[in-house]
Amino acid sequence: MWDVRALLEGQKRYSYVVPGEFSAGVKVFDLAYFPKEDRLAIASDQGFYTRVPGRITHWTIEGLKEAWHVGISPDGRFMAVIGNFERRGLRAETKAVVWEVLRK
Amino acid sequence: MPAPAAATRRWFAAVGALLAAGVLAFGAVVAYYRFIWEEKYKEGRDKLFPVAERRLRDGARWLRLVRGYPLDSEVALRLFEIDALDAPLGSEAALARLAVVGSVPEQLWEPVKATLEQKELLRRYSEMAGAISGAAEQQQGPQHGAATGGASAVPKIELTRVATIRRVRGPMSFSPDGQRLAIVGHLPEGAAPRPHMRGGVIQMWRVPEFKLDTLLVPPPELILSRKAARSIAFSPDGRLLAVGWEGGFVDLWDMAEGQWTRTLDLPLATIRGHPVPLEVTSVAFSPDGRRVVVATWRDVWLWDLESREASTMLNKGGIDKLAFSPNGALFGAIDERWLLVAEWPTGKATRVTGFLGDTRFAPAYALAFSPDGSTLATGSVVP
Repeated sequence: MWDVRALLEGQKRYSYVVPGEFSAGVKVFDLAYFPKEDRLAIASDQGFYTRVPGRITHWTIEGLKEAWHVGISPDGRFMAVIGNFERRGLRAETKAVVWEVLRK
Repeated sequence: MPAPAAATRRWFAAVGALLAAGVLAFGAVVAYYRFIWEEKYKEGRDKLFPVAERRLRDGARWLRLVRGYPLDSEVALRLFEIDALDAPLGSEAALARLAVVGSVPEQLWEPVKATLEQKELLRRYSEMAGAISGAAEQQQGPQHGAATGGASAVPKIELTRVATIRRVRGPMSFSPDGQRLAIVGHLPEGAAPRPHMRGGVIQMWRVPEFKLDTLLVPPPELILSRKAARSIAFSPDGRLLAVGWEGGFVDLWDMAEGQWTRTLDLPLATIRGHPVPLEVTSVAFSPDGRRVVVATWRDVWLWDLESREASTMLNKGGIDKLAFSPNGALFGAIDERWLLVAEWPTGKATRVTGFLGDTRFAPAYALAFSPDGSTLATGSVVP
């Protein structure tokens, strides 16, 4: 997470998601921010995560091995993840899963 | 000098042989340790220390970062109360155990908050609590696709699965009006087979029904070369769709007609005298929608859609991802070794921040601006 203003001023100011908050060895493939809120969707080789400041949630998605792409609709209502899904006795399958995002 | 006697020569030979044998034995031991024992050790370690324990160690590494932070005595005491271990008060082990297997009840934090006078302290501890509960959540096992957010100003969310789309490869993009979802993939089930089709189809799904709307199939002369796409982007007005393919092509589609309109065929590069395609890694429309920025492994191109001319814009290669800031004023690009931020379209205030040597950021694959444009998130491998 880089401070854009600091970057433009030539400073290297950042905070980063540290081990403990995020499992070590996670390889991030894709990132997308939800519109109008500080929520980041993270597709990785360990599955799918969302992050709000100070908190990361790992979403347990049945069969998902790796999440490669994440997309969020402009109104933030829908979120799609493309990834590799396990199938019993068969080769893993690449598919997209779309969720409706409900806010409490 | 008199020649050494035969016995002395034999003695020297024996000592030499012994030394040589010793060196060989030492080398064998080192090789065994380096290549065999170490592997066995790793296997054994993985069996002995399950994932939770390894995360504990990760937690300890994380806590090392805040070790120098002044711990309020009451906070430390309460942290110790939660912890079931006999670890010393506030020690890394106790805190790491908390970070991995424990969750901090909300009521516990109330008296703690009261003792914290500085806002900065409160902020750091709330971050810490979030990290702890986040880590604990990962230990709770399958939740069948549903989990809820934690203690944060951002509202909690729940996810409800609405569609599963098969025969896709990605990438994908929602249209700017949110009415369509474009995914690169194969012909869907039930579609009439097409000769020589090797996966280069763009499936257009209608939102919110998530019904297949249209299929964008490249013209027959292009089908053979459109196998896997690397990047996809809608123009800001949603009228055009750009798809960057492996092999050095960028196709432009008219969304109103559902028709392919033109292709940017990048020139071949030369490596050691051999021609190789300029593989496209990322595409993005300029904020005015009149140009397409195309990143390849060698350089970055600017494709003017009015003049139909393409020219190199930046001689930095290896870019994995391009992105414009939400207000279109900035342009970001990321490689596994550096991050570039520049003003668009002037390129002024270009800042390249090197990752090299900074293991926390290598290699990086993903890039996204926050909605307010103040933060740039980059995705890499967590060490």
